[in-house]
Amino acid sequence: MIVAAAAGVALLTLAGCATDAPQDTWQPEGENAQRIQDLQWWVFAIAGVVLVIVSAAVLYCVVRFRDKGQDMPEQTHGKPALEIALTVLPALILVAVGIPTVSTIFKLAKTSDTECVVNVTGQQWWWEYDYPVQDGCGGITEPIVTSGQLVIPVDTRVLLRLTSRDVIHSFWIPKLNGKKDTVPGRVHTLRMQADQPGIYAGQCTEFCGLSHANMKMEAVALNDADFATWKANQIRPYESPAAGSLAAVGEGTFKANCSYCHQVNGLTTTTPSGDITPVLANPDQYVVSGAVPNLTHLMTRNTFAGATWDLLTPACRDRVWNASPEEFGALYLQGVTPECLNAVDLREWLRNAPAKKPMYASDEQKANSGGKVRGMPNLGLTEAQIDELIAYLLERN
Amino acid sequence: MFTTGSKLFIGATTLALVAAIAFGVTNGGSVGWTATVGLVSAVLALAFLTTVNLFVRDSNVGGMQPDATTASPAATEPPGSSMWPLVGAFGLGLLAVGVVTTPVVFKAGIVVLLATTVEWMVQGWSERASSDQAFNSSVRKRILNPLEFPILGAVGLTVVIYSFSRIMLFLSKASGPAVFGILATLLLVFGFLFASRPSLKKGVTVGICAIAGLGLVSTGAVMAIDGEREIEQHETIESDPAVCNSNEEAEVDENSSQSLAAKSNVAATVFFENGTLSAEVIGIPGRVTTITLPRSTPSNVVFRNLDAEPVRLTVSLGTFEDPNNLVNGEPTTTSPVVCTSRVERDGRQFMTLVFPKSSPGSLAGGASLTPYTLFVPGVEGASIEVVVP
Repeated sequence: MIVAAAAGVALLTLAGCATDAPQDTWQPEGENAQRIQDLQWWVFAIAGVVLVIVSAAVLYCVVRFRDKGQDMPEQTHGKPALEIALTVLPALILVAVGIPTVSTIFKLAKTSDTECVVNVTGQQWWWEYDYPVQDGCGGITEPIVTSGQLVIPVDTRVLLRLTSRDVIHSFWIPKLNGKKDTVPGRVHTLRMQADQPGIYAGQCTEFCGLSHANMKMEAVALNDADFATWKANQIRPYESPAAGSLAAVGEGTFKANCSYCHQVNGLTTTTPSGDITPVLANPDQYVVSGAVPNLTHLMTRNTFAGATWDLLTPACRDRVWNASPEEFGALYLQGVTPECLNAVDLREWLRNAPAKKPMYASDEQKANSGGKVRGMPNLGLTEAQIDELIAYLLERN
Repeated sequence: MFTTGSKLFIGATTLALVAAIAFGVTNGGSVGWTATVGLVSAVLALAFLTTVNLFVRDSNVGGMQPDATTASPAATEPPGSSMWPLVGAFGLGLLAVGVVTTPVVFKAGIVVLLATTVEWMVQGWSERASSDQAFNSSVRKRILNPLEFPILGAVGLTVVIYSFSRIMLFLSKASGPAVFGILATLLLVFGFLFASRPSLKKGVTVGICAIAGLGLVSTGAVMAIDGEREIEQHETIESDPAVCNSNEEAEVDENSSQSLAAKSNVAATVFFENGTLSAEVIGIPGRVTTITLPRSTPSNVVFRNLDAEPVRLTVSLGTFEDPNNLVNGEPTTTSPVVCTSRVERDGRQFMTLVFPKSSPGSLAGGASLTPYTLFVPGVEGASIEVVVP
């Protein structure tokens, strides 16, 4: 029994020493997370000292004054000096903790000095990031919409404007800042800054339904030059697949099966009268929350389905995640190449999405939500259609 | 063998039983059935009382018993006067008044009579439980206090809360904080005085508390009778283009008809000043002339008019083709518009907008054919573009 308890304590203690912990709050890698770290370590230290003193005092009293059949000790009405001391001392400790805490809260809430604005919208069970036209972020001339990975310039104070389309979510990338709830109809702000290029993992931290555990997020920090490249790529005009290729067939498959909800900017179709018109998705007609991820540049991201799965094979993913800060940008901007595509998970997703990620997307569940789904339904695609779609999506870079 | 009281109860029980049988046999239908059930219930109740009476033997004491003149109920001093006949009469009065006035008074009468019945019965029983009135009193408390304390506590709290609420609703929005600020200060001062004078006589404390309680309840009653202050309701958004374009006057929404929570966090505050529109957006310093709002989720916007003329903020919610509704082979288009009511100088209006489709340019989500704009009708150049990605 004692050995098992000791082993449990040792295991917990050793688990706290992990260095490869992408969501460790004790390993800040940005100005805001560092502020939280600077506050919390000594608050924890004070709390720890108080815990030890109180525990020792209680233990001493329990052992020293246990019932041994002795006479009732002399009863006193009180000791004013002791009572005042025990009131003043905790008050002083709370003041000592409160002043830097309030100061840190105000510093974390500051928005006037931010240099780049990104709108973040939570939805069951993924995150959408849109970059409005602005002078910040090195200048953005056209709105950019992406999902799964929040791409930010390194060493830049980024302002996230958070909201939600359905239920309350919570945005948290522990290495970059604390968590912040996203609430429908409200805009909450959160500062974000990364010191080094790289990928920073996060997780929705407000229970939001069936696939809450699968609602992940990643922040990707790029140096200024790489971020400029990324921005330019996000507004690059659509390029149709080469005629006769499998991807060209996949374009038709995409229009027939996916474009009702998923937008690919620049995708066009020819009407019976010969006019060429853009293919416009109408997710508000099919999805409860009214939006689905824009797939225009899907393969510039490393993840899909709410950042639950990687679009890269494990080897390629490790190469990107473990790259040095100097090499990271170039590797990330390569996107998903045919050699690095994680076709296994992508195929499973296209074959039957609800089987891979729990969602309210079956016919029975649709009946309870006005015929609309939450998440991606099973489209009943054939293996050939899946091949075509993967070929087409692979060119969305 | 049978005491006098027992004989009376036995007779009554027998009579009720005979009546129940006779009535049940001779009368059918729902009325007869109901009356029979009532009579059988009476039989059971009387039988129970008979049993109790037999068990205690009417509290009769034989004349030859040695303690007949000292310890029997008849020998003890009669209990003091009871307030319950008076309360019962008051309840009956409420019943009578309630019949001709409002049901609430009638229901209050029923409650008073029920309480009177229970209290009086237990008191009457307890006063004859023994020859020791102190013991009798403790018996009464043991039975009734578990009922009385929670009920009276709840009633007292209800009266206090209700009185406070009537006072709050009677006072104007401006005077309310002042009155309750003074009240809170007085409470603090008196509390401090009481605490600093532990030798204060109980009567003084009780008297002050009683006066304060009576003052609270009577003030609440007066204000309840006088009614609430006028609380204006304002419709802040119109979706009918005909109304949006009219010049009809409307109240300025100074009194916030919409929810406080929504107003506490607005996506944008739009200002009309010097004939132009600009917006303050959460998280972005300064004013902007283009705002980005999310798709398919409510965005709260507040409009403030800083100019002299009353104006309304109008929102063009884009233009959309309806392929299912063709005219001359061409799809018809719809251009929904919503607007605030007319806002006077320094007034403000609140509106919630939802954009289910993207704005043009983003080519996402079945984009609108025309931009989304916030504008002031009749004022050229007073316009803000809304980008919906």
